[in-house]
Amino acid sequence: MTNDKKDESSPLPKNDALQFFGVITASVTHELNNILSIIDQSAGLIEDFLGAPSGMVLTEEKLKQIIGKIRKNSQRGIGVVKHLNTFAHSTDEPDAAFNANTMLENLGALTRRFADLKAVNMEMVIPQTPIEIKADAYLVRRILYEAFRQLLALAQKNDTLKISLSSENSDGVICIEGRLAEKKGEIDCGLLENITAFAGGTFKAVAGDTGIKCYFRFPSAK
Amino acid sequence: MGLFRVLLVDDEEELVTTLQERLSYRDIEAEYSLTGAEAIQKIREKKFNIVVLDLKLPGISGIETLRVMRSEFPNVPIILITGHGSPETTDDLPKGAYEYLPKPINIDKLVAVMKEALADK
Repeated sequence: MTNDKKDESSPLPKNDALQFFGVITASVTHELNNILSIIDQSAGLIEDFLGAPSGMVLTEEKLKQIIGKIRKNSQRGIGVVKHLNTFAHSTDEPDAAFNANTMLENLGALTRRFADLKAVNMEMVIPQTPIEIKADAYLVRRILYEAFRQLLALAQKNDTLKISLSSENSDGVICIEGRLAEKKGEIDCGLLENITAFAGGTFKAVAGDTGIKCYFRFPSAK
Repeated sequence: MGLFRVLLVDDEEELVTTLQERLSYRDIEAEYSLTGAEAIQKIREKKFNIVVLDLKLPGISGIETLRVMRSEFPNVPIILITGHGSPETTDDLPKGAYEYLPKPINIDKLVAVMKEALADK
């Protein structure tokens, strides 16, 4: 199915993809701004030493410390940009086979900040063994983010959202589990089910006393 | 004793520690908090002349931190910083802040705004 035909029959609003990319990009650019701020202030600190009175000496040890901070944050920025680039390419090949492990790492890196801002822990359990699935790579990210977003909205401070990947009968199964301290509402299972089906998978929610597990199953690429 | 005492509130520890050091070279005494809750506790325990507050904070948001500080310490000016880009209009700024500075912060601009805010008191 082409992207255009898919868009026509999608259960998501017409401008949903634009909004989704906007939400992710806004968060990521905010993080990049923080990283650049640290690098900028570190460079400014060296300038402070260079223009300082003779009593303030930039020792080798101090210089190494500042360079270490610049290098660490440069690497952090490179990682963020790499994840954003992978995400940006998620619409390139709809219905192609892809590595679910990498996809989940990518989504986790891009959404962790949302959990951090709510002081909610995010636990990712991704196996070493590669799990290849066949589905719409963009829509899989979109539906997983939707479940994450809904569970995060219900979560309380210091709760844990656990996201795990496993293989069952060669299918790839992604589970998002929210431990809810206080039940404040329900998640929209109908929406999750519709989008998962549209992405090429199946959805199941299992509610317990203290939380809920959302299972997303996608067929193996093999 | 420096010129004045500032409380820096931002969850990026490497940013606030670097800013703290740079401000100290300008004779400004700075302490920092990584969360809004910690900042509120700190300002209740110790006198600060001014607060520099990031809008995006884990747990209690920057807006909520601003609201609490404004209500309990109305005479302490609060300068907001954020990596959120520039607001379209001044109407987009949360009420109660003295000034808004986008990241990355220019240290000379920050110092100038802090001195201006304290002079306006």
